[in-house]
Amino acid sequence: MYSRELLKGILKPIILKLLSENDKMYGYEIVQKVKELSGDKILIKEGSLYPALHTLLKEGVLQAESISIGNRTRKYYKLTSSGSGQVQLAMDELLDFSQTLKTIFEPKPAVS
Amino acid sequence: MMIDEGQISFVRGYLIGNGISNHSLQEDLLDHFCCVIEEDMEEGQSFDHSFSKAVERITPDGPEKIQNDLNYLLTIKKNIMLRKLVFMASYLSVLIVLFGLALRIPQIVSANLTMLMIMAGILLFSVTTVPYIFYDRYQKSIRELKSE
Repeated sequence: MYSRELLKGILKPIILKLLSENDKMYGYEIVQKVKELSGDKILIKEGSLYPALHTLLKEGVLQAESISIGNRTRKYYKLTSSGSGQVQLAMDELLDFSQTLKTIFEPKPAVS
Repeated sequence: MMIDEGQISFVRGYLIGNGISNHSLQEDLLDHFCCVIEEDMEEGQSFDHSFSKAVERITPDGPEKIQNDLNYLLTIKKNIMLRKLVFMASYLSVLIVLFGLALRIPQIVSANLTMLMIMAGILLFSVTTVPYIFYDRYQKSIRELKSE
């Protein structure tokens, strides 16, 4: 399991990527999906997830749709058209960042 | 297995009683709690046991921490901009007063004009910096009161 510090910067790109592949998702579903896709290595904390979702809502990247489930309300999040446009940019930035990390941390062959 | 209305009210009471006043966040957390509890109860656990486990998993630092983090994220840009404006206005008001005083002594410009500059500086300081200082102190006192 990765540390909370490492996950901080990648939570928004993860949310955007998941929502670009699934029409709409609710909070618990996002946590479970990330856990499943990462082989239990990435466990999103609810304390980080909801502030991130609400910030993206306020920025107009996401929109929410409330549906009544029995005696409670379930809020589904989905990308807005402006949010859809941001997915590729976020992915490109993250992939570029991961490549940069690789060049820093991968052991370099010794010069003879 | 769906949890019943009484159990949902119990979870809602826990969230409201522990500082979740934002209705939208409350709905999110309530549903999340219900999902986690239902998943655990499917495995034969009691509601009380499942609820305690859900509290530990979802709100280890207390529910209010999530709302505080959310409020921080939603207001940080606005607060930074407000501080920038107040600091700039404070600097400008001090600069105007100092210019007024500096020009008054060697009598380069008329006494009326320098007095006007000093008054403008004091006025700018009074309508920007002073209210902000009091507002900031008020916010701090509210936070202290809530943490007692």
